[in-house]
This record gives sequence, structure tokens and C-alpha cells, in this order.
Amino acid sequence: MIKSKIRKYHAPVWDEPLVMQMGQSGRRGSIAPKTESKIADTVGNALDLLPAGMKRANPLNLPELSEFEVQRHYLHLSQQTLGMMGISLFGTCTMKYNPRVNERIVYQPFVAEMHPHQDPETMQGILEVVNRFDHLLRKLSGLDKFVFQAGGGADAAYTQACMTRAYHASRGELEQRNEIITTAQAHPCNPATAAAAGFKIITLPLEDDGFPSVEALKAVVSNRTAALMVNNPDDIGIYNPHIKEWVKIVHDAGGLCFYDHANFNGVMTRIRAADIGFDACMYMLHKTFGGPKGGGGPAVGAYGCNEKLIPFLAGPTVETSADGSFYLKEGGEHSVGRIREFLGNIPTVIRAYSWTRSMGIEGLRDAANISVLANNYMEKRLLEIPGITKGMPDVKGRRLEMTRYSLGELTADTGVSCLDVQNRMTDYGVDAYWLSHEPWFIPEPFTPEAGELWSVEDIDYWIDVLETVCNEARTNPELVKTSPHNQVVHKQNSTNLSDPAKWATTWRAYKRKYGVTN
Amino acid sequence: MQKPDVLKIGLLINPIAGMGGKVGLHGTDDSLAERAKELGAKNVSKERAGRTIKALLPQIEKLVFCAPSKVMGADLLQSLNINFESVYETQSLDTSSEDTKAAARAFQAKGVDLILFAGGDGTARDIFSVVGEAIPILGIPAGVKMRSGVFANYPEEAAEIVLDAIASIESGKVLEFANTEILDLTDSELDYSQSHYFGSARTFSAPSKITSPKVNSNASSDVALKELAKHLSSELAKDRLYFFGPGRSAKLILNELGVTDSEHSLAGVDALIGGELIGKDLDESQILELISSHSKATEPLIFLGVIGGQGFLLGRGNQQLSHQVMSRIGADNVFVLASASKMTGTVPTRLYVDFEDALSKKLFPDFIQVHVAKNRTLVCKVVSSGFVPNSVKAS
Repeated sequence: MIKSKIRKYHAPVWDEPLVMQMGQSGRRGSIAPKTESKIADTVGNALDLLPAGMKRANPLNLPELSEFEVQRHYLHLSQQTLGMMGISLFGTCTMKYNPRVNERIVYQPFVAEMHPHQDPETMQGILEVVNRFDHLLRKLSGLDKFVFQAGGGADAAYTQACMTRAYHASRGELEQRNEIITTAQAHPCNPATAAAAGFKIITLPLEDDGFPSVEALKAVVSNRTAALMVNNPDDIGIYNPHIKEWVKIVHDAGGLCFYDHANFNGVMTRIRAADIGFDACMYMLHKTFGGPKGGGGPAVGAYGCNEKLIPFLAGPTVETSADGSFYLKEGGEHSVGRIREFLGNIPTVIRAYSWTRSMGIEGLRDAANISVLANNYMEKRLLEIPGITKGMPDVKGRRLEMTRYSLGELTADTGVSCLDVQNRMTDYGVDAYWLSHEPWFIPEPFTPEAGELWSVEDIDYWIDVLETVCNEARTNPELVKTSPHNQVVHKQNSTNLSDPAKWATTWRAYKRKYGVTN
Repeated sequence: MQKPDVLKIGLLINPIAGMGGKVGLHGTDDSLAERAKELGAKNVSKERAGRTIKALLPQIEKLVFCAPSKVMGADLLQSLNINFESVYETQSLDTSSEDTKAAARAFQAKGVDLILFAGGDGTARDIFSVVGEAIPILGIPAGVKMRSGVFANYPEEAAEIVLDAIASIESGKVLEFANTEILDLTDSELDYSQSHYFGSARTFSAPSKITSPKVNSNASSDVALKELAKHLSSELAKDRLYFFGPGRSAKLILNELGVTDSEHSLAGVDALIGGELIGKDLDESQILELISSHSKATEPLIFLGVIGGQGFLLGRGNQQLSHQVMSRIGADNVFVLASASKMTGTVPTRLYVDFEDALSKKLFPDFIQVHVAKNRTLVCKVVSSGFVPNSVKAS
């Protein structure tokens, strides 16, 4: 039953041309004053000071606009987004508010103006933050060392694949151990990165109870097993209760165990990767730990491992001297080398450190509890809406911080798909929901994640909008199928999306493919 | 249900169904039946229908049977001392599509609650052409091809579905039915890869026990599968005997070796050694002969696809790969390949094996790996006929 008054919404539509197509030749935002004659006499022609090889043969083709026009254009563009401040229950991504105080910190010169080649002695504060955060994550995971170079979750999974390679190579077993085991519900980055690192991938299927069987794992584990890479809970909120046994089976066979902790939010402070027996894990600082994401800022996959794997970590790592100062140590003989340039996305490490310190252990525990509670509250209301069913309904027990639902019944009744509903919800100013990773086991899937941020009013409003759209699907299916109608752009013909001759992600490509001469 | 404690079943056995399987004829429709007999094919449908009816014996007093005469049903029920109402007299032992339709009309006149038949897609089509959606249809799998969505996975599961229905009626529940597809090859040509849709029939709603309709092959358009086929084609040993099962997936490897579609048999089992195609559309005895004459230095290997949407590895459209053939080849020498999208559409992922002899020795381990791309496998639980599928599901 709809609880709230559904508010009217319409996105601003400016329909402006691209910035490259605006302005006039010669128009400028600001004009630098002429060099004073005394300076010119002393220094000479500034251009002559540049080495010849650094001078451009042709001037850059830049837009020519006044400062005011630039401001107006970008204001309009920003108005045409939902601003990352809507009700965004984008499942598996753990959408959170990014406290502005943390943005203020990373805008400070001691972060923003740090030079990558700066002497470590002059960035002791930054290194201390990295070191302290490493120790915080050690406490949360039980592991022995964290590094922050990986530029996202998949990059951290790739780190693990490289670490697996280096570990077995150091023992002379790499040729023999060439298989990595994962599950059908693990994030696709796990098999993808393992394959990129040269491993064969064995994928375990889900059983009726929501996770693969111990018997299936036992059937494929062997002296060829290099590692296990799994999420738990997976992104349909199901926790595999046999996970300790899994880790033991793989360890007994000589393989490593990697915990993709993308879905850490519901279990923060409740479980620790090392206690279960995992050798390594990954947290996403841009999701669980309050860093910006989704175009809001750079990502970081925090990668942690136990003592056994430390020799293989990518350098440089931040280490503590006897006198308490910090220094950078390059990777040793067995290191996988660099994952990314320099220290990774340090501003997001600082944001995550600040967020974690302000939450405290109690705050993290509250957040985990609230996110599970909020999801179960949502589940009760969503399942009351005709046409919505729970994905894998036979799985016993409560889901954790996420539940995957199916709109299959609504689609069968009305022809309206989960993509149509997603489009139509944006007509109410609500951010698009997440569907499902491939492969789709559940017909017409969607996966909301409430997390700890949104108030019960926000969650109710989101459900009310979804219910409104489901009602529309029954009374006026064409309205939903042809949506969005109140958005910046309306329903797009997506046929050209997969045609390289038609897509253009740069101005240069656009000019070439569409014959624009400007 | 008009009579709350009794289910009235029209039982129909198509005596020639399934005979073409082992002899590699891909069916027994029309003239193929004669050819199958010439090749020494044995009747299979009565034995499979018998497995279903025997499993119904504990509750048999709650069922009322109608059956056509002789081989079309009466013989089996009489041999088990089950009472029935005779509804149609066949004119000869060589029954035809017309006999099936006439029996279906007779069932309709008697107001049966369910038509239980042993046959394949052709039999399903004939019954459907008479009763449409008016009477639920349940198939005991006994044909060569069973692409329609009305067949139980195994004969015993057809009985379980009926027993479940009796239990539902007794506990006052409404029986749940679902609409499903009647599929078959078109009459004009044997375009093996594509099924033709003949209409929407009603059957029981029992998704775990009734095989889903076949989904048309997408193997040709799967880039990863093509890459795998290319890789496999480059790795074939010179002196090893290779078999290629029916369907597009396995034949992709032959395509990569330069064997065109007109040179191999898409619907049949082909054999290759030293890069040369040495057998095309082989039947059971020809396959056994090739295995016997093959050098003992290497074991033969078979590439097998999976029937899309149905999950069958053996026992549907490839009965020439009999228990005897597969035990000679050995489970270790079976290389299963299928497109990832074919294998991941359902939870749980199962591979079904249905040999004619229900109690034959178990050949496959509980789990096998299906290759979906180069260096990429999906683990599947194997459910074999005669190995109590229920206990497998419960694990």
C-alpha cells in the first residue's frame, strides 16, 4: 500500500549543444595582462624560454567561450543529473553519503598539492594516515597487511590473481596449479581477473539452498587448484554457512583462499576474513567505507593478506622505522610489482580513514545492523506488491543487506520489463536501481540495497514509487514501456550502442564518424 | 476435478516411438519406423511405460484407467493386472499417427482428467492436435527427440507427478497446471538445429520433474564457444579416435577443421581420426565397431553438447550413444561443451542422463565440468536415470 504522497518531478532539459559547438572564435574567459616592458626586457620572449621540442606546432582546438558561458553550461549539465543525492538504492554498490568534511580535508594543499615524487620525509602525515588505516583494516579483517594501490574492486581481485601466481611460482608449483575456483554468484571480476592472470576458471553452480554445494567443491579441488575466489554474502544477500569448510577443503588441497568482501556492509564487525581462514580479502573504500563513487571520485580496492602472502605484495608499502617515522619500501624479490602508479588514490584512503574513525567500532556495528534491518523491512513491503517475487524463494533464512527480486510475474502479466520499470522510476526523480550481474538466474531481476544511510521515509518513498510504477504497468503499460518521459533524455534507441561505426566517446571520434568539419 | 478422490487417466503407448534412437534414425515418424525395424531396432516405449505404471502401483486403486487395445496400452495394463476401460481398437500392430489421434478422441469422449502417454514429440503433437489445451498431457519419455515441454525427466518421475497430484486432491488442494510448448522438427526437412512451435499444451506444474522445452541452439553465435572449438581443433591428437555427438556445439570443432555442414551430420554421431572424417551419422553398432577396431594405444574421446533449455546430455536425440557405447568410451573421455548462456539459465544447474536401461551401472561421477570457453568450465551435477533423482536433489 502506498504510504506517501508521490511528488511531481521533472528534470530540467536544456538541450544545449556540446561545448565544442558553442562560442565564437576569439572569445575568451579571461585575458592575461600584457607583460610589463621591464620584465619583457629582462626575460625576453617567454616562448623562447621553452625547449623547441615542447612547443606545439598547431594550437589546441579548444572551445572559445566567456567565463560566464562556461559557468552556465556546466551548471546546466549538473542540473541534468540526479546529483548523487537522490534516493539511490543501487544494490551491490552500497551507496552512501560522502561527508563534505572529508572533501574539505582532501582539498587541503597537503593532500591536493602533494607531488608523486615528493620525498617521503616531507609527507609523513599522509604516510601516517595510510599506516593507521592499514592497522584499522587489519583489526576488521584479522589479516596482517593492507595496501591501497588497486584502483577499485576488480583491480584488487586482479592483485589477488597476481599474488596467487607469484605464491605458487615461488614454490615451483605454478605450472601444475593453474585452476582457480569461483562460484556462479561471485562477482564476474573474480573469474575475469583470474583468467587475465592466465588461470583456468572453474565455476561452481548454485544449488536450491542458494549457494554451491560442498560436494561440488570437493569434486573439483585437486593438486591443480591454485585458489578459491568468492564473495560471501554474495550479492543476493545469501551467506554461505559452510564457508569455513570450503576454506579448509581448498587449503588442504594446497590452494589459497581470497575473500571478495564487496558485500561487507551487512557483516562489518560481525565476521573477520582471517577468522574464517581466508588468506586475503578486499574491501571497497568507495563503497563500504564512505568514499565517493559512481563518477563522484576515484575508487580504491583495499587489498589485505596474511603473513604468508606479505612477501608477494606490490610495492611500495608504507613501513614504520624504529624511531616511529614512516618510509616507503619497494617490493622485494617475490613482489608482484606495481599494481598502479605511486601510492594509489590517496585522497580516498584519507576519506575512508576519516569516515571509519568517525564511525568507530560501535558505529560500524550499528551501520551493519541497520543495513540488514532496512533490507528486511524493504523485503516485507516489496513482497506485498503484486508482481514482485523474491529471487530464489526457497532459500531459507533471512537475507542480509540485499535481496534480489524478480519482476517476472509483472512482465508476464503486462509485458513491462525490469528495464522499463527502472526507466519509469527515474521519472519520479528516483535514481535507477541495479538489476543483476550476469548471468541472470532470476527473470527480470532488480536488487535494491538500503544500507544505513536512508531514513525510513526515504525507503518508504522509494517503495511507493516502485509500487506506483507497478500499478501503472497494469493500467497503462505503454506509459511505462515508453518511459522515461520526465527525464533529461527520453527512451533511447540502443541499437547503435554496440556498433563501433556509430558510437563516439570523444569529439574527435564524433567528427570522424559523423563527418562534422568544425 | 469432478471426482475429488480419483484421477481418470487415459494411457497411450506409441509402440514404435523411440525405436529409431539406437539405430541412428533421429525418429520413427512415418516411413522411418519400417527402416528402424529393418535395422533391428527394439521396442522401447512399452518397457518405459511399464516403469511408470509400476511406480504407480502403491496408489493404483485411486486411479481409473482408459486405454486403447493391444500394444497401445491394454497389453501393459493387463500384464500388471490393472483394470481399465478399453476405449479404442487398433486395426493392426503397426500403429500410425491416425491411431494416436483416434485414441485421443476416445479419451476426450470419456472425459479423462489426464492423458499419460509414452512416446516422443510426434506422439505429443498428434495428441495435442486433438485435445489442444482441453486435457492436460503428461509424457513418459520414450521417443527419440523430446523437445516439447510435456515430458517427465524419467519414467519414474512421471509416476511421481501423478502421485503428487493424488496427494494434492486428497488434501483438498487445487491441481496446478502450466502451459508449455509443443515442439518438433518440421515435417518437410530435418533442420535439426531448429524446433518448430506447434502450439501451447497444458501439463502439470512440476518444474523440477518435467523437462523444459528445448531452446534453439545459439552455439554458432557464441564467440567464446567458437574460440574453444578452435582451440580444441588445434589440440587434437593425430592417432586418437574422436566422436562428435549430435548438435551444433560439438560440430563447431569439425567446422574449425574445415569439415563443412554438408560433410558431417548435424543430427548424428560422427567419427574422426587423423583429421579425416571416417564415420558419419553412425548408429550404436557402428560406433561399437569403430571403438573395437581402434588402436589400444589411445582411448577414444567424445565431444558432447547439451540440449539447450533441457539440460540433457544423453538420452534425448542421441540414443545411439547407449550405455554400452558410453561405458566403452568411459566418463573420463567425455568432453562436454556448451555455450555459457545455455548452461546458466537455470538454478540449480543439472545435467540429465537417461539410458534406456534404468538399472545400468552408473557411469558418470556426481559432478562433471562443462566447458563454456577456452580455460573456462562450469561444474554441473549429473542426474542419472535409475539413480534415484530425489536423493540427489536432497543433498
